[in-house]
Amino acid sequence: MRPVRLRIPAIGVTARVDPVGVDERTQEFDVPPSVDEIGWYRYGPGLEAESGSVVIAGHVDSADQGRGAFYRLRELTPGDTVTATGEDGTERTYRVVAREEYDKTKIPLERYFARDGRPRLTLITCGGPFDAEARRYRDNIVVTASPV
Amino acid sequence: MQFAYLRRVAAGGAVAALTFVGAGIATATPAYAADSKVSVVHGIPDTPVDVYVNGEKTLENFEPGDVAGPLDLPEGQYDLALTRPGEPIGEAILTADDAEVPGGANISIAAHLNADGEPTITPFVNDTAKVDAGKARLIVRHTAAAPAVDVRAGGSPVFEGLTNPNEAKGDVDAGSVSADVVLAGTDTVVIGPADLNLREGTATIVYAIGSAEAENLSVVAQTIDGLHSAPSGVPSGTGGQADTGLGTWWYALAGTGLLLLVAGGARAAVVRSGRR
Repeated sequence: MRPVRLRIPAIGVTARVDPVGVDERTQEFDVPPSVDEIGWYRYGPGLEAESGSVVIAGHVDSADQGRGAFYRLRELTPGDTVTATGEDGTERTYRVVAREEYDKTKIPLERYFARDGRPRLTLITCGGPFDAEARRYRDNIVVTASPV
Repeated sequence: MQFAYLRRVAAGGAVAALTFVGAGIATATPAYAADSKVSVVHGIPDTPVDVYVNGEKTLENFEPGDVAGPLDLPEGQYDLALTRPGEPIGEAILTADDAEVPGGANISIAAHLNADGEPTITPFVNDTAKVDAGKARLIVRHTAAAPAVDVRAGGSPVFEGLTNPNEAKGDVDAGSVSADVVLAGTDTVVIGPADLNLREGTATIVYAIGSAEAENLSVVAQTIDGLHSAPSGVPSGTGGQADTGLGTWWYALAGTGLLLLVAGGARAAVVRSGRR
């Protein structure tokens, strides 16, 4: 089941979710170019999955569009709720259990994109120090939420 | 070489010692060998069978076009026998003794027709290496009584000159493709076209089976999943507004440091010139 909308009241987010894959050339997560939209990894589990990580990533910001939907993702703390709406209109609520920050060169992506293990929602954006020359953040912020 | 070996053994007697088609058994076998995953593929038209492994009936009334398994089998040698349903093993229509199952491998054993239309058994080692994110693996095996063929996707050849009992493979973009099989070097379609749904992170193995002469060529498909990889990264910010690093004061400080260095350099220069 494909998510179409994500709501995170604690940080005032309501965003449209697009199904995305990977960039053909770089094999990187194809985050939607519009910073107001966020992307669900369509090759991984959907909302109905009984195991594995449903991954949604979005921009923290962009040079030409300003703040993104996940600008305040790093403010989430355990207990905050996240609600995903499926394409059939069904809402599923998750509770934040962890927020982590990794250097992009060290993040264990295999774990966050796992298709097995307990069902969970994984939200990813950028963060940490910004390299103004490369227009690139050093880190990824990862928020993990469990179904309520 | 492998093919020549098979032929020689076949000429030597009714029972063939099996050599695996596909590369890398030796390298794929870890020092501590785990069980192997073994699937069985039935590619002999019009002939349901019972399958015996080491004298024990393992599959009953196994229909042409079916794929069974995977079974978890420890490394070792196995005797395989195929009988007509319900008939005793002594009246097997096809046997393979001492079939070598290596440790920790993923194998498909196909009962099929050779190029001349005789029933035979060919074991294949399945390539279960991870595929890149967004990709799927397509493996095509020629297990039909037919001459060399080309496999086309969307009308253009992807594998050319494939002969029985060999395979061709490649990692392609995940998604649906329209595939057909033509006689090698021609546009004469012998199988298909059929839509193949190549799911991301899986290997789809397609067996061409049957006989060109009997006009019953068709395909059997087997899927192996769990071969996915994570994307290589999640680039999700180019603005710098959320910079939590060291912030502007750091750049200010770095600027100051630079100034100090310049000042120090100047002083050293002064000192040097003073010593002169």
